[in-house]
Amino acid sequence: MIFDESHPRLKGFNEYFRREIEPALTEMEGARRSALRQGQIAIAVLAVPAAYLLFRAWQMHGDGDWQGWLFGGLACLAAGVGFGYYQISKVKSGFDTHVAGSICRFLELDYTRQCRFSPLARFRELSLIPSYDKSDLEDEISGRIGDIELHLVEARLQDKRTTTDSKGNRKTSYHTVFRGLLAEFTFPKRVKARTIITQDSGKIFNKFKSWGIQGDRVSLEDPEFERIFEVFSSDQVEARYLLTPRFMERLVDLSRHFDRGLQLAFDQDRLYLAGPKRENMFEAGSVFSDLTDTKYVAETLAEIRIILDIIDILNLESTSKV
Amino acid sequence: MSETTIVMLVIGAVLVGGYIWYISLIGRRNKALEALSSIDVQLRKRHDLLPNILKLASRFMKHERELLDRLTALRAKAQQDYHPQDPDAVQNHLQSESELQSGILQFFAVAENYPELKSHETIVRAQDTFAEVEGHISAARRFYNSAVTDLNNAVQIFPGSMIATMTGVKTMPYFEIEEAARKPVDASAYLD
Repeated sequence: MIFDESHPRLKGFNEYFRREIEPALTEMEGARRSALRQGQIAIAVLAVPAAYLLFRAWQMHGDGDWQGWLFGGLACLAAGVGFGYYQISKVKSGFDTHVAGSICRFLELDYTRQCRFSPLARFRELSLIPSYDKSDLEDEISGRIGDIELHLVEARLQDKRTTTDSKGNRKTSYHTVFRGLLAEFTFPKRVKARTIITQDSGKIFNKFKSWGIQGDRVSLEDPEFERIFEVFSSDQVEARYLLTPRFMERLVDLSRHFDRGLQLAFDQDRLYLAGPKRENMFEAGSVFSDLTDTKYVAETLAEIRIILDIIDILNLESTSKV
Repeated sequence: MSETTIVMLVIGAVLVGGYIWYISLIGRRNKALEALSSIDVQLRKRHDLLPNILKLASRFMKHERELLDRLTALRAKAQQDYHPQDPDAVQNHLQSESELQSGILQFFAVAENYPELKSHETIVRAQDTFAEVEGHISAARRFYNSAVTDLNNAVQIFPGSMIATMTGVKTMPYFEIEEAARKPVDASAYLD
């Protein structure tokens, strides 16, 4: 058995892999090799004029139009590398989409590489993500797992910063302020108030944070939970109804699946989760390695399995309501 | 600066400090009272649940007259009016609610031995609602106990203790679960 089927919803995945995923991967591996060959040929063919033009530029250095020769040589090199890269990246993108899409199909979920529905406004309104100037959304997963409806996207949010140096030159750059998963689940407890679970940032910063969040601070009994999170709610009783001692333990457990900064919100019958992840998810494999290597599928499977882990750890499917 | 000015400044500072402390104390007491009233809102749901269950149960549980009567009496006791600012009255009120909760748990345990009653739609629904209501009561209890801890700390620690004595602000009792409600219910004791 190549893939771990320990989770009940992954039973039969190995068989599915052999039937549905592997044949396409073999085909893609052929396409990758062919694209790689085409890229190598393009580089080799364009390397000859590039070498000639660069040589001429070197010969004419400081004399006449040597920059034109240099530019021509570099352009030839760039064209060769660009053509090769384009050919290979087409195959790589198809591979990522095929692997993630097939795994999602196995779990009866929909997957699209291009995000069709942006949840950013909702997450921003709930103060789960920081303010940003530029956003990239990809890898949208939606559907149902049991009775739980879910919608998940991978997001990268960037903030524009402009600096001025001592000579008065202005420089604009973008800095990543959030990278990770934005997920929305239906929640078995129907709630009227809004409860937001943010990261604990120390007493002083928590105070600043509370000005931007609707509701009062909720002080809870679990010291480990209180060390990691800070809770605000418009209803003190309802916040505690949601955050039972067992549920707090589960959230602490879940926070270990993400980088620091996991934040959640309960609003009506929905649970919203913003989980930071440094690495780009659902993109396994390298253009220079064999695409039939099962380790790439295993990596994507492990990343998609996080959805099952969230449902299991938070016990979302349970009707026990604790 | 003359001695009189210094004395006046010190007295002024003490008065301002004392007033701020007093405001904080009253704020905490009001928070605890608010939490107590939110418990009562949830407890009312528990009270409303009982009459229908007892009415139905009396048809099936003819040999459990004593248990059903006890539950009716506990409900009546728990529903009595009380003064929320009197710690003893609050203690008695919370104590009766804990006893009522144990009584209800015992009732559901005994009902397990009456298959017809157990499978009756009203009882099945009541058990679900009871679990839901108990979840809310438990949440309200945690909110109340947290507010009481804040109040009691402020009342018992100097100089809060002095200001509390002067202004008549008292500590409030915790809402603790009855020992019987923590333990699994032994239904056999009610079936002999």
